[in-house]
Amino acid sequence: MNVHAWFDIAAATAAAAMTVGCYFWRLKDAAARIDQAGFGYAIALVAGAVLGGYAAGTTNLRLAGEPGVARSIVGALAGAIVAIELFKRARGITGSTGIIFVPAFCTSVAIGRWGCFYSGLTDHTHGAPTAFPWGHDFGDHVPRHPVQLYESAAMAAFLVVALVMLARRDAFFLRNGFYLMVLWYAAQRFCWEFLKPYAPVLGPLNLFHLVCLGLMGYAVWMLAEGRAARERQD
Amino acid sequence: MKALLILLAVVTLLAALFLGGCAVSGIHAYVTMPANAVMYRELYRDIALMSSFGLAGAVAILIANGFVLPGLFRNSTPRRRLVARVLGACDVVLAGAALAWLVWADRGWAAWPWTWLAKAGAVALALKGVLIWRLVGRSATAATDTRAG
Repeated sequence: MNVHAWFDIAAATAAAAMTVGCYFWRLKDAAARIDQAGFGYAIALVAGAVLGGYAAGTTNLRLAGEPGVARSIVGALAGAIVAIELFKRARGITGSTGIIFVPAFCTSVAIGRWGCFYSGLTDHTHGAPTAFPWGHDFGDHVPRHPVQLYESAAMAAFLVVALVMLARRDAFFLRNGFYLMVLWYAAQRFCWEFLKPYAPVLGPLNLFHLVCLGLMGYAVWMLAEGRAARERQD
Repeated sequence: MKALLILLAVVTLLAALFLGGCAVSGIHAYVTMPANAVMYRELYRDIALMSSFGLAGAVAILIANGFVLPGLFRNSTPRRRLVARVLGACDVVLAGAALAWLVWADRGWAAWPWTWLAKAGAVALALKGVLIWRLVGRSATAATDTRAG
């Protein structure tokens, strides 16, 4: 096992601890919706995340002409969302069920990306060459954007905001926190993707740009739908 | 509390599936090692060996959580609940054995803080097992109460 795997374990452990903490602190009622949704919810979530994660990661690797299997957190997020939305539609479940996963997701990205950073060039997550003073040498004597750390910092910042909102019991955030997190994650990732040397598939956009665009569209759509539904209720 | 166990099982399953993939690619790299990489053979072999342990751990986690999860839901069947309770009991036995081994290891080669972190993990595992046993045992009653309410 390499340094990446150790950081993955640390990220998973911290995410689990954050889930426990937030559950007892503010999200007990939100978590109860998972129990009500049934076993199929868990199956859809895990299957969607795994299929999406490996499919997006491996496809991006193959587009660059590299052999092997890879995983991608943005692919896992998109896969899980597709699977859960299909499951919810089939079961007639309405409203967001994802708020309980927000602290865990932010924590796992904020910590896990350091594993990508320390793994160096072999991880294929490094940035493009840069002349900026904080450019990092990943082993080939070329200063590159430490995009992993940009992403880690962005999600750590969102985690702080999320915890403040939870502390305030902000009703808008409790209803839409998951969609806001998806919007933020996809938007910041969309920006960092321009700093990565991945193969373009549509103009200057790579595969992850397209996934991020889809996620941003989904988040905006769900936020608008939620608002419209509330207005109809009022 | 049962919802928390469901969440933790889902998070653990996801971690095991992605870590398992990492381990498989480590083993795959050794098996498909190019002929001109002879000078790296030992490095590849060590990575494959460590990956094998990682893969074994991931499979154990997948089995334990994958079979516990169905029994935790409100609408689970008696058979699923029984499997979950048996695996909850296995967690406690495994945690007890791990604690005993760690205490023994403390006298020899083990160094702080790793064994203490491992001990904390074993205590958490035992706690999880006890919670599964207690909460899953209550499932049938809870479901009846809900319907009556």
